[in-house]
Amino acid sequence: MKIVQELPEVFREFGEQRRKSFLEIKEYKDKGIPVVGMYCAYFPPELAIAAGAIPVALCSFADETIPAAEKVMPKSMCPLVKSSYGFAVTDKCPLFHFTDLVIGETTCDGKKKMYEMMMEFKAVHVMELPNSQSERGYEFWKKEVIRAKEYLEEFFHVVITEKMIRDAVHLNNQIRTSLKNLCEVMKLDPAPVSGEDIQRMVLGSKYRFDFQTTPEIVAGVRDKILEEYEQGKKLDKRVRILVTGCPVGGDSLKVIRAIEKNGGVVVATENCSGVRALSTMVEEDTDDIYGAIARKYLSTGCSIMTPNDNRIELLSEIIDEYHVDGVVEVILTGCHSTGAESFYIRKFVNEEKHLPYIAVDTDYSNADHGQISTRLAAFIEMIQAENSEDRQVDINCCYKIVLSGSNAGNSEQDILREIWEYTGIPIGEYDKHGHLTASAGFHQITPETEARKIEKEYPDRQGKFVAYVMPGISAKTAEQLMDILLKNYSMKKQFLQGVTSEYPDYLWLIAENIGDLERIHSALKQDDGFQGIPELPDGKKMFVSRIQGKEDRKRLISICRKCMRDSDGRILVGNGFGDVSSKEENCKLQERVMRIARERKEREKVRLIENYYHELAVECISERMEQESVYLEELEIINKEELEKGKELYDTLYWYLRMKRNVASTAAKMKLHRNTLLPRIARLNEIMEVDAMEGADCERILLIMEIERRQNGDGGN
Amino acid sequence: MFEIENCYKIIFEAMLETSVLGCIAEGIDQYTNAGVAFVSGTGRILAYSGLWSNLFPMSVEKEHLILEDYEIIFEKEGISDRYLCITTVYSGRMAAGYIVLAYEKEEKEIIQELGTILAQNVKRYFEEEQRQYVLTQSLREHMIGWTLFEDDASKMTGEKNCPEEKYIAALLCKKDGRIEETIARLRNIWGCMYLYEEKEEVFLLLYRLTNRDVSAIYEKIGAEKIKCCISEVFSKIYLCKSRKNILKRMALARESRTIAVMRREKEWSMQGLYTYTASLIEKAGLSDYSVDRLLLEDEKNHTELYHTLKTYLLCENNVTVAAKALHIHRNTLVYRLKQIKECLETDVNDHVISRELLAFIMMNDASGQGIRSKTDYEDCTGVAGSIS
Repeated sequence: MKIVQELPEVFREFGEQRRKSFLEIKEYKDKGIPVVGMYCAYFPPELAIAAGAIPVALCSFADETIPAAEKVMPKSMCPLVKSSYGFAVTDKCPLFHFTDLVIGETTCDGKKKMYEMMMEFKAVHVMELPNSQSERGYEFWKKEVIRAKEYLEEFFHVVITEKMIRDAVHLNNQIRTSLKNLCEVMKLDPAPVSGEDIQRMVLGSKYRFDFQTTPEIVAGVRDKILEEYEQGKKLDKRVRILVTGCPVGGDSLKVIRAIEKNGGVVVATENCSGVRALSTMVEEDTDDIYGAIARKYLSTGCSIMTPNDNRIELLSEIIDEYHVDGVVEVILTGCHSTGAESFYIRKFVNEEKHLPYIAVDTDYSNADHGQISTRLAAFIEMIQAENSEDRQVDINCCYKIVLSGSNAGNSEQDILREIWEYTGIPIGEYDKHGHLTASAGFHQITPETEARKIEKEYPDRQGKFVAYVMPGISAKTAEQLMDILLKNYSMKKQFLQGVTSEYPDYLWLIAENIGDLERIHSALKQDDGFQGIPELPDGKKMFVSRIQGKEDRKRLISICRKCMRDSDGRILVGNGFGDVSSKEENCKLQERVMRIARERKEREKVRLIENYYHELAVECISERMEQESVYLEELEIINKEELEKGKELYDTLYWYLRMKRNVASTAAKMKLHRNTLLPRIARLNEIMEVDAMEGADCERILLIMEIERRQNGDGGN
Repeated sequence: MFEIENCYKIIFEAMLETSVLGCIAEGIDQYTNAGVAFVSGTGRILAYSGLWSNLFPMSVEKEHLILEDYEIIFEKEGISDRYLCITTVYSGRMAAGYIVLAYEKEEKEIIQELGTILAQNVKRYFEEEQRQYVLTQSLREHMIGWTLFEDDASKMTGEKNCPEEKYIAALLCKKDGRIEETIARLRNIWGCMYLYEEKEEVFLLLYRLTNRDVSAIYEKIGAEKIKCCISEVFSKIYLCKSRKNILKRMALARESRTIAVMRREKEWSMQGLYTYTASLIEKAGLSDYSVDRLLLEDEKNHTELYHTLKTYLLCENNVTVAAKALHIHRNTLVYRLKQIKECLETDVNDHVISRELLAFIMMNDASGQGIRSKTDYEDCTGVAGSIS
């Protein structure tokens, strides 16, 4: 759907949706459509939709009703519970007023008691929620979902058929997908819109009762955001914040506002209604639809679950995907489980993700507005300072770029490009005839550009560097930069002269296409800097002599890369060797590596022998050993268990060792969930105490496994 | 029937040939129609005739008596329609070998005489063979050793029926000297052992072990500083052969820095396996400019960057563990790693790069460059074949 309104208007409209919904819900009630109220993200609204009712999220985010609740509830209770109860008991929430039935869950202690108290004046059905996201918990929760469905059938005198529930699931998945896609626009850096706007959309969409059109409208908003982003309408570069912890909405949006007022942008929220809850769908393609519903809703990463490893995993993914700079945790006063869990979150964010973290303990009152704003401003300032430190033009960093670039054999063009990206100074190199040989950022220079031109000639007058000092950049920096480039030029020249006779090595180039070698041959011949002497290609191989050590080989690699840019073939650059009597054997060796590379199906056009040492060694050992066994009894046990129980223990051990016993990397590599992997590793520990082994022992077992894999024709990767 | 004088003639004429024993066996076989084989004191078949090879094809194929044939020859003294005459060739009081003649019944007496004549005339060839061995064992003991380490060790399971039994294999290098003394010291630690001798090494199999004994044995061997390569404990006897190969490889592995007296499989087998790759560097000229530069730096500045890098990579890039292994402070290690990074111009913490680097370093070490000359290496291992 094409959105014709302006985006701020759309966001405002969604923000107002809750208020509008009061009238809307009355209309539905008048038509005789029942209303089911809910508070928590564990209740599957699909059940209510399937029963022909309208599921509504009841008011729970305002400070105004808390005093009423505190008449009967302890003041130390969490504001969310007090606010919810306050709205209910004072009948200030029109949605609650029109609700026929409230569905609650045994989540936290406060909510459990609240539902009991609510039962005195409203029909309430409480679903028993397990405390753990285990398989037993899942089985139990599935039964509860079915019990809730039966309760709804009985309460509203309807029958929920398989088709009805599947339609409801499909519809809700569509809504979720559209909201997920909307949230994902915040992955763009800089962010396109503010986090508050996205929050308004997500929260507001819960109060749109015309469910069928919601996905289309949300998708339209997303398209519009992206369209405007492409046109350059986006926020400035801001500190990217992830908000986690207790659910945020209504009065607690003050935290998001404080972040965004002080130079941050909330790119994602990780809580029961955050991006992850939206990106997990109910599996539709299953025979057991209630099981699928139960599985999706039980996966909600709330701190009432124990253990709550799921949340750490979700956080990790969001931090990486959304390029988060800092994490803010919102803890509602009195929410003990979130408060206690913040210890793990802080540890994880600081120690594993190396990001700053701050916990904001708050309620729905206005009293701490100033305090929160000050704390968050300081937090964001701290991150800004860290980031700007990196971005400042540090002349030492320029040294690093030039030196490492030229040592790595990068072309002058690449080095200049890297410098331009870092400093923003357009820079170019001209030869003695005045031809531009390399440049970066010159496209920015137009006749209208107010940039001062600086020129510096090579000491040997064989060319010059030209730089443009753009507004906001000091001329001194540009001059220093030119000096570095000139020094580098002199250094390279000196080095080439100095080493000419020191390493007269030989080297083989092996190609798939003869044409590639011919091109490389003429490029090498024309290159003044390359000291080696290439012989004419002999079939698919070319011998190069008088290679002057590492630098010369790097230059050769760089030339090969340039020549291969438009070719479909592959080429292998061999190692330099000093003894010409090894010529034939070395050629065979390079051909062998080329074959290995071909088997690996790598995309790299210019292949280097140094990237194949391991496979070369494993292949060589396996061949020499022929059918000899390097048998390890532990591996036999693992193999046997794998055959009997099908647990993929052997593969798990292999990847666990290859990933240097890092659970997260292994899980990622094997495309498994951490929780699936952990029991396997526990079993491996029982068999061979894999975690207690020394590194060298691990490498040994890994090597043996690789030899076994190769001997069994299983390849190396 | 044949005349014994003609046999002298055959023996004499054979002495002028290159393969003396082979010619004698073949000549005697053709003249007397008796199968002839010369078996050394260790069970090796030095030469045999055509008839004999028809009777014992398996042994001939392996150029060594197999256990089944040994039992036929030395315990049953007969096969199919032939009788066997065994003449021991003595060197001093020791049996240096055996002449086995397979004959028809009516020739018994003359065959015995022929055996004696042959024993007298071929004695020096047996003595030459015997000089290569240092162990004094009976043929039966040699046979067990050979069966365990060269042939199918599962033939030996009939002798022991303890499923819980554990084994440890060990290797002693003859060039380290004092082999018999070392074996005696090992016997003091654990009495139940089989021995098998090759030209360069002696292999031992410690048996009748239980899990409890194992750690004590490693400890004692370590404490006594017995120079050997020793396998991890295993429970399948047929693995002796593969353990032997690993041990041999472990013995070949070189490390210039530390002189490890006892080389345990878990610590040394990786280096051992990498010795298979020696020819890549020695013959095919595989080299790496970055690693060469690191070695050059070490040489120039008397640093230990190469060894530090190797240890760090073997410790799975774990700074704490590597610092402990190198006995240096972790800050020192971090500083060295910075130097290494600058020298190599690459990130050694990258999963892929660290894997390739470790492989190259292991190959480089295995090639024993600067430690042992190439010809030495090829002679004793035969590993430096051409790259296929």
